Amino acid sequence: MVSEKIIVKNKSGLHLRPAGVFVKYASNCKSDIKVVFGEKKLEAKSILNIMAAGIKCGTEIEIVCTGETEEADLVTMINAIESGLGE
Amino acid sequence: MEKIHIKKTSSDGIAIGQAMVVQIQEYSPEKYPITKDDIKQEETKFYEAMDKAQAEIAILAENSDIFEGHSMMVTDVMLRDTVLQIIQDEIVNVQIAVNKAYMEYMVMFEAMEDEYLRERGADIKDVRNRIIRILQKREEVNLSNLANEVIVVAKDLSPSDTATMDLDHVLGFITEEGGVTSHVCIMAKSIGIPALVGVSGIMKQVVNKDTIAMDAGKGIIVINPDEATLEEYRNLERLYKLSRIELEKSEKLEAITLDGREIKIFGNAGNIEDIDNANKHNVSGIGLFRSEFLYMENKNFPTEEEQFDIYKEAAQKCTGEITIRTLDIGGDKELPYYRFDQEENPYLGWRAIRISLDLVDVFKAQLKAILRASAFGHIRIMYPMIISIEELEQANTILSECKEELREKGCKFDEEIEVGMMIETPASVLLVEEFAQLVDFFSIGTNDLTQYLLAVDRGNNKISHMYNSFHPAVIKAIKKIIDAAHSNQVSVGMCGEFAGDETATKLLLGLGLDEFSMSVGQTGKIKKLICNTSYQDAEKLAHKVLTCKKTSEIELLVLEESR
Repeated sequence: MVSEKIIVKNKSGLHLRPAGVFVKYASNCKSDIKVVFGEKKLEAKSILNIMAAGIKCGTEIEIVCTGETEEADLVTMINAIESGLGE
Repeated sequence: MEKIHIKKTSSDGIAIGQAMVVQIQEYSPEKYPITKDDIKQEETKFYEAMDKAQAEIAILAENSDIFEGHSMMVTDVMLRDTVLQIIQDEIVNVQIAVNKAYMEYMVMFEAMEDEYLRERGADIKDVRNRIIRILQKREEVNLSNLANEVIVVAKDLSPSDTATMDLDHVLGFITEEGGVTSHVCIMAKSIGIPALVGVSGIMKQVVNKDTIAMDAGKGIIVINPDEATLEEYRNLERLYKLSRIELEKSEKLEAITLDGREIKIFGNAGNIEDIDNANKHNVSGIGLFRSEFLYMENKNFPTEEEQFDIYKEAAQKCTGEITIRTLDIGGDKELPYYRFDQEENPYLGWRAIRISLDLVDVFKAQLKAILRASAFGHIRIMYPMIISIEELEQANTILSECKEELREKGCKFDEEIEVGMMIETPASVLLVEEFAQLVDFFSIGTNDLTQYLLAVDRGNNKISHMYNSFHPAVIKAIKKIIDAAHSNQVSVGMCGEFAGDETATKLLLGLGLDEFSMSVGQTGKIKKLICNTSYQDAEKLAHKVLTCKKTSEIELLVLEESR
């Protein structure tokens, strides 16, 4: 299991569009990916789960990857968030 | 004959036609029992239904963003796992499981604070309905081939319902549920079909093939009108169509007086959508771009980057020049992230340029964003609420610093960017000759100017009748501003409500106003007025008005002229 903390910079947080991009990236990864947000542990491959959490701009989240390709998948996810999730 | 009145309306137009009552198929799950041995079979049914739903949505998604979201909801792993879990744990059939899983999410979304997310609840409901329908092996109700022109009456219409609808044959929409921001309302407005929503009880009152006459603007529905009423509505429809054509024609006019004086008729905008709207109505410039929305809809002071993106988009979308007013906010408006002190007189308080000059970092972020955006279009900068030369100089000094910092970084901007100010305080009117030597343009803010000159709070019901821009003091002030400006080669615009007031147009033209900036919907009427007026006549009127001592005399004169 590997993990890294990152701050969400998208203006309106993880709204439908950036959340959709986020989930697409996650879905292409083989690892099991969770998003730790406060007390909650979210399924990174679920658009509804991510959107319903209402993650706002400036919030710190932790990406946790578990699986054979966990190292590479974590890099993929962190890069995706850093590049603004298509925004 | 039955008449229904609706208070809240959001579209315009008259429709007369036969009702087509669409029974919106909200499918309830069938409750057949299953045993443990059936679980595998139910799971297979579920996967097949998901594939079919996905295929249906893929076709719809080609033309609509909404369905892209639907597609993700169908394939959502959480939802899928929840459904499978329910089938296994509770040993219920797939329809009940789908219903339960989706309803859980729907309730969750509908309880959210954020309006946007709340609306997504309706999307989840729509997807749920699709899957249950597929599981029951029913075909989608097909409205894609309507034989006659109809007025569609329904409980509510989801994006799935309207996406496949034969809109060429739809004369109007009436729905029992939904608000003016609902999907059907927005869609109807964008394609110009009259719609009334939130009409409670309509499904009980109307049956198929009833004749309906509706006035969407006034919010009136007449069911089975008698011949006289029908005739009345046919007339209204004709008049409405004529007025639309007339307005569209007017909007296409170039605002040039009979004797050849060219006037700029611009729009006021409070966000990017307003600029899109201006383009749609042939308005070639924005005389006032209020930057406040960037601050009020944000979680913190907007960064230079955030503002740059918006100003750049605005400049690129605007077909002509766009005048961006720097932050004009005061103690009467709150920012969610900044505490303003309670003030006894917010209109005379810490507001507009006064805030900008105190919070220099905030001001600089805005100025740099505007400057950088000026490389992408014709932008002008305008300061609000100036009362002294010192303030103007201070603002310009900060602007010079911003330019220098951008030059050092190698950022491109319009080196010749025009800088102007609002004239909306009595002090700026009295010092207008001095100001005219320091700026490129003025814009008269008649709302505040009238309020400050007359010392009348227009929000106070006891005295609001005293608020009147035809007051001779206001007219004399406008004259003074325009004269001072023109003798210094400075152009003058007006961006208050007075600029869009049809009774004032000829007078303002005669006083020499160069640019009228108003809400986009007004521009057609004002353009037409300008085209039918000669500047010489207008000057004569202005001359007469300037000799008037009373508001009532002025009002009488302009009314006679506009008849």
